[in-house]
Amino acid sequence: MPMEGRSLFFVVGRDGPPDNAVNSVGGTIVARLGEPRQALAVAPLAAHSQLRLHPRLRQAGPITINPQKFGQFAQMLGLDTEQDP
Amino acid sequence: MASVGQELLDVPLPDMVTKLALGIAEAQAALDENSVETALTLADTTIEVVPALTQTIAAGGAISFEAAAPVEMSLLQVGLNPTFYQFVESSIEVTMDIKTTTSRETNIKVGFKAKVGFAMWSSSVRVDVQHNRKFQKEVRGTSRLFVKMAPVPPPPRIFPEVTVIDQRPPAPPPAPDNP
Repeated sequence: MPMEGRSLFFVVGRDGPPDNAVNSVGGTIVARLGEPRQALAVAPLAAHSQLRLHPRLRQAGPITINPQKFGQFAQMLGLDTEQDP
Repeated sequence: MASVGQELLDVPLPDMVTKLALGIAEAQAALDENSVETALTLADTTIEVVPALTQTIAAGGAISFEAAAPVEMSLLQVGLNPTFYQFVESSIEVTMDIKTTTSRETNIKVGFKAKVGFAMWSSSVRVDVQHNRKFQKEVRGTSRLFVKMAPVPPPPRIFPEVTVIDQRPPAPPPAPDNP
């Protein structure tokens, strides 16, 4: 069934980094999360089931960024304040 | 032969609707299960965050850094949430193309035969009548299922409420420029 749009996915590789599996469905790794097997990827929404059932991935699920919580996190790290040169 | 109206009535629409509804329910359950699994993994996956870094410039100009103790935060606390999808619209489109043709064909063959000889004669008339009636029916049907999904906010109680208490001293105001 055709689906439109792209989504942010949280992917966990089974035995190694999930790069090849994500690339095979037309996605791209955009960030690593701690260990190399865990990453954030942007991929077509239609690839959801392919990613979920991919033999080289232990897990894949669409995620969103909660702006309120991420804002609090950025504030805690001081990332939201402008630094004078 | 069934009429066109009967053919339309024979379309198993209730079955199709039931199967579509069951398919949507199964897909919704799978999506929800996947989102909950993702939420659990995001909650279990932690990263070390250094909440503060102090830079000290000594009188002699030497610069040193002191990092606060790292804090473990889950990806859920950082603000990465699983996306929950919901089927918001579904429709079934059934298109039928029915073509019926009827043809009749009648063939009549008449044969006459007569024989005469030795004061006797005989005759025969042979008639062959052949009736053909042909019915032809073509029914073509296509069905299209259309479903629309939309992201929905996660259940409000699935995530813990995170309150950040920042006890760092406020940064000193910038020193005024001396002319």
